[in-house]
Amino acid sequence: MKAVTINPITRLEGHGKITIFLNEQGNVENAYLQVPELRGFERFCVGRKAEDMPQLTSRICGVCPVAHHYAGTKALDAAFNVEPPSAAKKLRELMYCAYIIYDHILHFFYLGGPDFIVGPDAPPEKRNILGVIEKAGLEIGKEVIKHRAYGQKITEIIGGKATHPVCGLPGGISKSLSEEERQEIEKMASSCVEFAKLSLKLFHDIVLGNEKYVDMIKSNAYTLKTYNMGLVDENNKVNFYDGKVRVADPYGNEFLKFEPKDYLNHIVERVEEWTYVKMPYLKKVGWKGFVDGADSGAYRVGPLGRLNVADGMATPLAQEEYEVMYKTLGGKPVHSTLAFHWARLIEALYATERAVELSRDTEITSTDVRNLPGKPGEGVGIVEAARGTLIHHYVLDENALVKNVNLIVATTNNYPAICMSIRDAAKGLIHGGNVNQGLLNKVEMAFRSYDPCFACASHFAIGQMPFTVEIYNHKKKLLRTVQR
Amino acid sequence: MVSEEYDVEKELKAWLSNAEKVVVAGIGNPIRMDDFVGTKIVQDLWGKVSEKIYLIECETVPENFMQQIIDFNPTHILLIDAAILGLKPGNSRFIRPERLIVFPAYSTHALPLRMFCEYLGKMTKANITLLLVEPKKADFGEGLTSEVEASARKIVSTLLRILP
Repeated sequence: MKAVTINPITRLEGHGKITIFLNEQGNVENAYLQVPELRGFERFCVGRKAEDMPQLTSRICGVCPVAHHYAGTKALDAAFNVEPPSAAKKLRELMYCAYIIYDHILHFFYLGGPDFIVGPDAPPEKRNILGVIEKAGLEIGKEVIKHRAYGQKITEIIGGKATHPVCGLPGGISKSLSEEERQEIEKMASSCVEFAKLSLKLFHDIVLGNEKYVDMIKSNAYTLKTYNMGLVDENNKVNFYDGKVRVADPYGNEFLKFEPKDYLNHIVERVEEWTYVKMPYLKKVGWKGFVDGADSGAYRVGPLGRLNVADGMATPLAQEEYEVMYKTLGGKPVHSTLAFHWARLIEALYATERAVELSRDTEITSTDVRNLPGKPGEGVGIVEAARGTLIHHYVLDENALVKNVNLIVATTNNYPAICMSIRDAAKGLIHGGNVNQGLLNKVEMAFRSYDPCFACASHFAIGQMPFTVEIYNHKKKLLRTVQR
Repeated sequence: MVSEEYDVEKELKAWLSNAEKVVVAGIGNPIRMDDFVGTKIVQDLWGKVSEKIYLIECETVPENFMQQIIDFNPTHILLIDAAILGLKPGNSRFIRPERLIVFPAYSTHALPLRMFCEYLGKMTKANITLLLVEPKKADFGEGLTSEVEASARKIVSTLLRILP
């Protein structure tokens, strides 16, 4: 048996390594995504003041600080037994929509989307935003920057800082919104709706307009029939900021629906010795190894997971596109890993529409934005990070110092599925030891669809490195290294 | 023998000779020790530069500041970051973005730095370059090592002398 190692992964936040094990015939036997570095946020937060947690945990990642900030803030709401005023909840959700807007745009145009827009067989140096500009025009490049900046600006207006916001407090938010700021946000959010529509048009024209790409989306190599998980509102529609956690089985039926505080009754985290990221699974089903199907407790979160568990989208344009996606891909649930990209754009459209709705809400400029917290205790906060369900769980002592922390982040939730997707893509694309660049690109496509963030997953952060492939023989001896 | 610091200053001076409006963007993670050096340098420039200079603390996400950079309409963009260059800790190099391929800089943002520069190059007419500082430690933690701290002070002093 020999091993093919892709290390580290390009264009992803954080540092990971893919190892594909080939048998003596040169065919894929198994594949693992390894995350080698431990950062330990859960440990060093112990003993800190509770109110520091939304700021501390937002430092886990520069890409999704808003998600950590609000998961932390909501955990503090629960821990201090305080319900924020309605206006504060709306302001938080509005800021959260802005985060989804800039983050989903980032992934689609900068990180994973270029695999499709530029093409899976394009050379690596073309599969990026520059390749997108070459294919779709310079104007799209300008629009991408402009609308990501709008998302950032809205975050800054409400959150105090664009990258690591400081607004979340137990029981509310630190400041209200002025009418002038509201108008500015409404204008930016409205422009974002048009940009989200443009992005979907691009996806339709370039991806869905290409029969080869559609076949690839539907192919077995990119299909994984797992459970799905995500937050839903009271009407079972997708909600990023609040609601209950819903789990659907691989056939699309509701399997579980629970309050955030009950997550430990339903999710178990398994430790593997070869990685610092844990392997969560559904307690009721159990861990059956790296297999999909109804008998395996592995599940998927993120854009496709959310759409699969929901009964639809809460805004009209996103709902329209939601219906088109399921009609095009053969009905609900969709198990194609590559459909994450489409789902991501539908969510981006929803986030823009919802941001406009909230910016026009008469209550959004209310100055009643904070209730006083109660006595410290224990609390769980769950939000939908761009990459999927994010859980913060804090236990506080009587002086409101942190006694215990548990974080389950989106990429961790997806981790078993990511390993399986890599393996299945590799099985379909690597035969007889034939490992060329094009094949590896498609293996990369399998995990990039999840928009994984290893900074979050092991609660660490490190960045870009050269892209290296290491090939080992069955005795684990390094045969050669290929680097780009 | 010409000292390395002298070389950097000379190159920066030459590069800035016709500069009218300059963006100085610091890149680096404040909880990754020496990786923070770029951001720290920009922090130390606050309040000491003219209106022709636009300072940005990018931390780990320079791509989030592209619109602000474009809006400033700079003639020159200087990105300061930590990078493993094989030099002594604290030593620095002034390099063009196209050389990044042979200088595999590590940093902490999703969009590779070279791609960020090329993207920025397409969106502005500015002259873009990088000032990279060799870190000693980029482990999890706060504060720069003494070598990199000393280098940061020298770079700040140099920039204050030569920026328009």
